[in-house]
Amino acid sequence: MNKGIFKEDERFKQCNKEVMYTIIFFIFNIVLVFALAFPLGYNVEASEIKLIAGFPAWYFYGVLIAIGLLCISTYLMVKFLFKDMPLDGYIEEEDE
Amino acid sequence: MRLDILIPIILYLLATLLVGSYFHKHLKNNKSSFHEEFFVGGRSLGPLVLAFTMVASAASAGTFIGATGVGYEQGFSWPLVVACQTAMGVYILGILGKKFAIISRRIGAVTITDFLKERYQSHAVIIASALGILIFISAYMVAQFAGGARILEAVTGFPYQWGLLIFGAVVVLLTVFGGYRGVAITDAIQGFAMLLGGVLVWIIIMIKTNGFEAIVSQLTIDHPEMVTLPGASGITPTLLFSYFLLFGIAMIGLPHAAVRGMTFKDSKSMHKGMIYAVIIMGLFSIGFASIGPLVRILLPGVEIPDMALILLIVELVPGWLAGLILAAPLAAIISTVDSMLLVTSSTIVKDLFLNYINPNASERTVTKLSYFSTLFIGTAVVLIALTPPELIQFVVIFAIGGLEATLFAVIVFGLYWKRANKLGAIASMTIGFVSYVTATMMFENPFGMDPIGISLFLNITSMVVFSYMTEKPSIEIINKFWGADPPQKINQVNKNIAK
Repeated sequence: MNKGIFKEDERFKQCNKEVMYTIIFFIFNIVLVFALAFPLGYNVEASEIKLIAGFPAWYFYGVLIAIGLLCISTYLMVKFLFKDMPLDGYIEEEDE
Repeated sequence: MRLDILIPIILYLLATLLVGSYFHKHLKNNKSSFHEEFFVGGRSLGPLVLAFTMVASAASAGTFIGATGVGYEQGFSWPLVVACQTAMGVYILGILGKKFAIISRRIGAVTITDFLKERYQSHAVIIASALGILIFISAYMVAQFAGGARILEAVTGFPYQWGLLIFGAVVVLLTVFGGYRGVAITDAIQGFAMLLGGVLVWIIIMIKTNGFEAIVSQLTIDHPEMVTLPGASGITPTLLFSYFLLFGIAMIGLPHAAVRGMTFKDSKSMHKGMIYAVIIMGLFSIGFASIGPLVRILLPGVEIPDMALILLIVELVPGWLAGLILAAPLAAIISTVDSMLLVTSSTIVKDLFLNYINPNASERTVTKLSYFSTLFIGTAVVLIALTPPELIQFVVIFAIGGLEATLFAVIVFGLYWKRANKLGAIASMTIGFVSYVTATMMFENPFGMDPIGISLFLNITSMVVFSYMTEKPSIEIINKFWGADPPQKINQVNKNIAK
């Protein structure tokens, strides 16, 4: 087989980028929750935990606020970094 | 027996059955192939249906009953874990993404195993993945059926087993007659119903109490370990990290979730689907998981924690409304189980029967066999669930962890890493599977993590190491999964070069 004729589908470049963005998003998600929840709640005595809107503070920020931020950042990521493309198996190209 | 609660539930289930059978007719009249219709809804799902099917099939008995059950017992540290699933839909769609959609159209794949078959071209890979899917999905379904039966138990006062049999019959029949399109649409309805039910429960709790502030303050005094970290669930940073893997990125390894990556209509549906999925999943996580600890004060001393929320609803809420609210988790369970029944029956029919027993079977035989294997597995799982598990949540975790540890690397690396080959796939599945089962049985949280941590690591490293040790995949495979041109055109070019 002649290896020289292998030509990669152009669309996959963008696909690979989107995978990287998603992985970065995953790391962002972990950092966000860790940063909000653990400093406020880890190994803190129950009597010293503040309540915000009826929830323990670490829970209010680490879960409720974090989820809100995740929704916003998903929207921004998809809107600015993800691109539309046809999903057909192969794209008809004009012969050279 | 609470007829006032039961009747709305029955009406709801009947309505679901009707919708399912309506789409069954649609299935028969449609000209596109039975396979594509039955298993991936003709690759035509819009964003909202996509997001709801994804969420409803992942968040189900696990979230509504299981998570509240553990939250009831262990407090707020558990909902923190459950919240790790919030962006699950973003990971699944974002990572499998358009490439998965394009490739599955290229090779006509309608299941994960179809994909693996073309990518690795190895019988061992197919058989290993089929076994992993059958074992862990069945365990998963046991948890779902148990959840449904618990609800009926609370409502009817009948023994658990009775509820299980009634519920099992409805679900299995619905799936047999509906197929995927039926599932996808009813999924969307049920996901929505569940969301509504969750909102109602919150409103009612707010009305019936003096606000959470009072409840949680009470909790701080009576059960201090329920409002702290690590808390009763023992959530350390490393453990939470491993749950981020389990409920987050590794969810790609769940065949019934990953297969959604083949179903969306176009890239716009995928983009919007990601946004909807994170919002819906976020509401689910907040809505249901956070209730558990509160119920501990509102309704102390429930012996079976999984029953806590259900009993609270039955007690606090007027009958007809309780029925409608409880129809929501039943709905979620139905949608999870029916999509999982489809995964298992497609494993049996397409992956094992068509590959190894009778490749030339007629469409009619295939159709029949799909129905019968769905019926068979459904019955078997109901029989296993007759002995109820202690906490549903942990059965769910075991099942999804097992699927992920087996299938994560073969799917993701197969899609994006040209070097991934047959031996790497076999090694990663076997090592992932074995290490997960061993770690679960022998050690409590190795390295301070859920067993998924270590076995996912082994699953990925063995894929890399064993692939590098053996030959590259053939140029045909590379062309099919990365190339710009269809095989016919490449053959043509080759001939021209030869001339």
